[in-house]
Amino acid sequence: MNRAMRMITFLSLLLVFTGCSAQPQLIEDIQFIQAMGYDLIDGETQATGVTTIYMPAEDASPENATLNVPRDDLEDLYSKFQAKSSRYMDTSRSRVHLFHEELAAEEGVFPIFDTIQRNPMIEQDMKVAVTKGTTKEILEGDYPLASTVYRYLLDLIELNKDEQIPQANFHDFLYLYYAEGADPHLPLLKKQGDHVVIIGTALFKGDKYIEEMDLEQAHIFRMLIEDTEEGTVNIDLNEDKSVGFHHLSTYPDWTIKQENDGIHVQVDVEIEGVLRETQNIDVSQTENIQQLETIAAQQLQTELEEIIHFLQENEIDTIGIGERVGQNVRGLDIQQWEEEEYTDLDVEVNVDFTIENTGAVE
Amino acid sequence: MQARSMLTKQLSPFFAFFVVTVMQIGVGIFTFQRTIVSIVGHDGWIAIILSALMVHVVIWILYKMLNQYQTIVDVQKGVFGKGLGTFVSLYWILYYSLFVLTLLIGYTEILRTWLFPEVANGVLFFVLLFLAYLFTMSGLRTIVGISVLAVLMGLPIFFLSRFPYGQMQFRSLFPVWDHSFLDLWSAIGLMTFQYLGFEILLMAYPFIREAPRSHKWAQLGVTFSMITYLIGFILPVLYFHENHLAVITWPTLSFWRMEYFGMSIWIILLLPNMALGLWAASRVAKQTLKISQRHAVWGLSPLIFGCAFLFTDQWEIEAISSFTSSLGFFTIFVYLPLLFLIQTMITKRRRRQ
Amino acid sequence: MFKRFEKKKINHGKKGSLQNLLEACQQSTDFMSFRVSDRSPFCLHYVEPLVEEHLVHDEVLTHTKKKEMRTLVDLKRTIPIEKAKIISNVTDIEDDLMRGHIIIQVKGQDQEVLSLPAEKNEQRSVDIPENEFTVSGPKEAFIESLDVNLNLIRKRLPISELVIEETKVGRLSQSRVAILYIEGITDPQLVQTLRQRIHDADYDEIVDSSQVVQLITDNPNSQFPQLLSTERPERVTSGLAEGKVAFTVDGSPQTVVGPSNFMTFFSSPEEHYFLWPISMAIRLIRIVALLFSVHATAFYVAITSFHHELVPDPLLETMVASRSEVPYPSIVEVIILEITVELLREAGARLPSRIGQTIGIVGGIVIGTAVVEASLASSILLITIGITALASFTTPVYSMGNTIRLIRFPFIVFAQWLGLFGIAACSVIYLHHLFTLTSLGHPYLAPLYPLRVSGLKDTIAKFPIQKLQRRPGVLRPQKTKRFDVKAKKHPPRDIEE
Repeated sequence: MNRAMRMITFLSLLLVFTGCSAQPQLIEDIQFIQAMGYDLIDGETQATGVTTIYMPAEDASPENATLNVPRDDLEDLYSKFQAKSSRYMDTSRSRVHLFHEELAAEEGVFPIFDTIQRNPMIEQDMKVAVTKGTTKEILEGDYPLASTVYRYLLDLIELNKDEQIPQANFHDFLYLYYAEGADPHLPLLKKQGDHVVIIGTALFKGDKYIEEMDLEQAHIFRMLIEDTEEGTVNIDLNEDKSVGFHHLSTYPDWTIKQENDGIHVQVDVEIEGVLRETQNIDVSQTENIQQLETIAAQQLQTELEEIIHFLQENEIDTIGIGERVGQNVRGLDIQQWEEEEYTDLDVEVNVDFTIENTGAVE
Repeated sequence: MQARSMLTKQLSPFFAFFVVTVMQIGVGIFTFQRTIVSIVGHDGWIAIILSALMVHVVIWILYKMLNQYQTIVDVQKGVFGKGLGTFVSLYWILYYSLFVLTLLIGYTEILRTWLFPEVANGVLFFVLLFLAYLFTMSGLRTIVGISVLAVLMGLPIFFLSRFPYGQMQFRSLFPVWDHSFLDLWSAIGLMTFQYLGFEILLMAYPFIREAPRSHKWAQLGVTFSMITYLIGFILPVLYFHENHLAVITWPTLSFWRMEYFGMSIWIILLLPNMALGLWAASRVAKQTLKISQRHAVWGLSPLIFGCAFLFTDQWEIEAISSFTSSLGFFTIFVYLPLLFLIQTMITKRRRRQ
Repeated sequence: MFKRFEKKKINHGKKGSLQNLLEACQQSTDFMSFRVSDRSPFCLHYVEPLVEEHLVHDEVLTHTKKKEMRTLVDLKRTIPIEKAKIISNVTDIEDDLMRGHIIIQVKGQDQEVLSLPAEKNEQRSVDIPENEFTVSGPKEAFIESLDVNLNLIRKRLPISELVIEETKVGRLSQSRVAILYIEGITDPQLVQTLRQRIHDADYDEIVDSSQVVQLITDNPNSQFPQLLSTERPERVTSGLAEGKVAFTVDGSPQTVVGPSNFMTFFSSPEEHYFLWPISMAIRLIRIVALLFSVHATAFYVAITSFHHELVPDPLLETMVASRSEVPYPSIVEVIILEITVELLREAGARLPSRIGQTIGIVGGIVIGTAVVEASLASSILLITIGITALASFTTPVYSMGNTIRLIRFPFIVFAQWLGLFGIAACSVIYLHHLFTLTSLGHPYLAPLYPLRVSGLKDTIAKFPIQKLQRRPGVLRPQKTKRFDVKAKKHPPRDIEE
């Protein structure tokens, strides 16, 4: 009896509510926007979205299509995309977001970031980069090595994050943006012929792009902020002598000490590498190896110091020294410290360079 | 006959562990980080541990009371006399119902924001309450059964979190104790709301076999949920900057690897919560108003369903949550210890006489 | 104990006396009733097709024709047929007559008759199990004869504690039902429950044990089988040894063992013959197969209709490409294909086994490929459905396999309604059902709920046989230990000693 009642209630519930169930949005009816670019052209912001049209036939490869809309404000953007498309537009799979350098420099990127993080449907694990030249040009380009543009850009940034540039995706940017005493940075891209090339790292103050580092500097810079497993470095000893190291693993270790005369910041960078390339140097000698280690350490130390000075001159704290200080010193107003003391801070850099081996031959 | 034998069969003491754990980890685990971080930042873990300690003490008090009387209704009858005691007990119907209501609207809000923005609130309310009703009607044993399943199979999904090693800032937890004690105290107050739910024991106690032995299991349950909350707090704090965390509404979901999947599976943790709440409320009604528990459930569930429609947007939900939070805090941490004091005084006086 | 059966028999009304009974029987042409010879006082009555004819010729006729035979007592003493008895109750006489006894009546005497058992036993021989076939282990299966079946069980448990109680069920069929249990191990309460339920079972014609199961099962409206039917004698005996009860019905090759829990239906007897790590792995695979089989197509509906975020990037292309030609929503696609699979399965089960295989191949390959080429279904769905069908076949008990086949449809409907949340809600409803279900009054989800860790050793997991010292506690056996663990003879040895 009770059971029969239950079943009847349940069936009627089904009948009544199937009418107002969730609206199914079939997967094949959706146009997924997979990469987006934001440009500032003649004072007007434009957004470009890249979508892929999948071909049902087995032998046809997927085709790219781009949509380009001007926008006045962000909420407007999606509806404008929708107006241009015959299918339902969905931004939840956008994995790459590009920002034109002018836009990043003049308007700042945070408003767009904020729209993205507010939408729970969007996967927050995405790649973000700043471009020289319009993003439209990059997104509409045709790249011989890749099937789709978004995949190409995604792989390009992902791979180079391991190899060359400091890690900076959507999440990292937001972390540094929200953190007191740290400034974010993003990879910097440029289109060269048939390729998109990573040319360095874009440095931000707040959410505004103000300065850049070339690839060489970015390389050195990342030794200060993260543990790395991959990477190469070349050391020129003099005009005809140089060595190259591969598989550099670096471990920066920051120590902050608060003493009577102020705050002392010291960084010990431990580098291990494999020697792969030599010119005119006999590396079979142990003394030579030891000497090389000292020289490389000194040279890297100078370069690291230069980068810190460079950042201090620009009054940006991409390394996040302020944050580190805040984590070690109680009751410090980081904002104030950043403004007053950061630029004159004397950071002591120590490099310990170890050559693990000399490759397959002596 | 079936129903009666269900009631007379008692639960093993160690089920207290599952009941307490499942009640404490409700829908709050998705959102508790934000409020705590906005007050004490990375020091929130201290608040989590300290409030768990407070809960341990309260559970000790609770068992002291219940070992003498059987349920809270009997305690209040003993302390206030029959008439007034029964009247005060009516408050607990409201209290447990409010608990169910908060869970219901909290979970519905998550479902609507993340999964189905276009589905009417009413549909989700109905489905959730219907399931809770189904379990409540089949008795405490069934509810406890699903609690066991929820802890053993539902909770592991929570721990299937991602561990983005490279992006974890392990220094984020320093410096330890960087906030004033006053801040910490208000965070503890907020955090206790997450631990609420164990007061189901006030009604479930007579159904546990050799109930005094279940004390250690109840305490263990609190420790277990404290560990869960600690993990749920520390991981996002390491991953997000605390300023960022303070603006994220559901940090657990943003951090989780399997948010869509887990969110749906979470129903298995929520159902025993709501069913136990409904069960306790109807049980109080049975003991005070002398009506059948079945009728009480029939009365209460439409009432909760109707009330749920009053709280549909974010601000209303926040208002009811903080109301329930402060009500819970005063009931559990002020009223119950006071009741215990009065009770011990009365017992002592009687013994002297 | 079984007095009520007598009352339940058809009221024959005027057939109060032996005379009336014989008259009623004479309506049938196969009923034989004649005087042995003119000079003999004896009349023989029997139903011809039921009786072993050479017994009539060789024994009965030769003895009854002897001159010195005058009374039934004389006859009983002389005729070399065991279990001959003199009875007077008309109901008993009818019963014996209809079971193939020869009734010998002294002319003129209406009170007592001699009843000689002379049943003709037409039965097939004991064969290998067909439905529960295993590669290793014993290969005997029950047949339709109750006596042979009891013999198969007795052989395996040659102890006096094995008690067999016989009773009858069915007003018309009068089927013999035997209840089996081991005295001293099985909980008497449990035996009483089964006894009572079989006693209360009332129906006119019982052909198979499954009908008795339907009559005595705890919740007849459930989709889940609550008692295990098996054709393997050793499965019955190991159930008995655990403290369960069993019953078997004459004319049915299936013996029923209870109480059964959910996991019983997902374990095969073969697991007891394999090495335990292998059995354990096989069991885990089966549990995964169960979950997959029930949820996979519902997941497909939920993902294609609501949760596109769950599709990994590399798979998106395949999915969109294969879906884009299909003209209708995924729910229709899924239901069409699921019904096709059910059709194939049903057709295969109804046809003789050789043709059945052909149907499987035709259906699987020809229809499957054609459906995808005609864009009536996406290839990803075809793969999913293929695997779910395969996974549902891993259920070792046929009746549970049918359940698993059918319960996926509610899941599909719920998935279309509320996506993943719908699937979760549907799972919870089924869980609720399983929690409230009992088998002979014992919880169906045991040992998961009520949780007994020791019980898990041989349900979800499969521990080595040495570790299975205790019988399942849920059954409340009178002796909990199967064997005594002997103290270790040698202290643990160190390396190289």
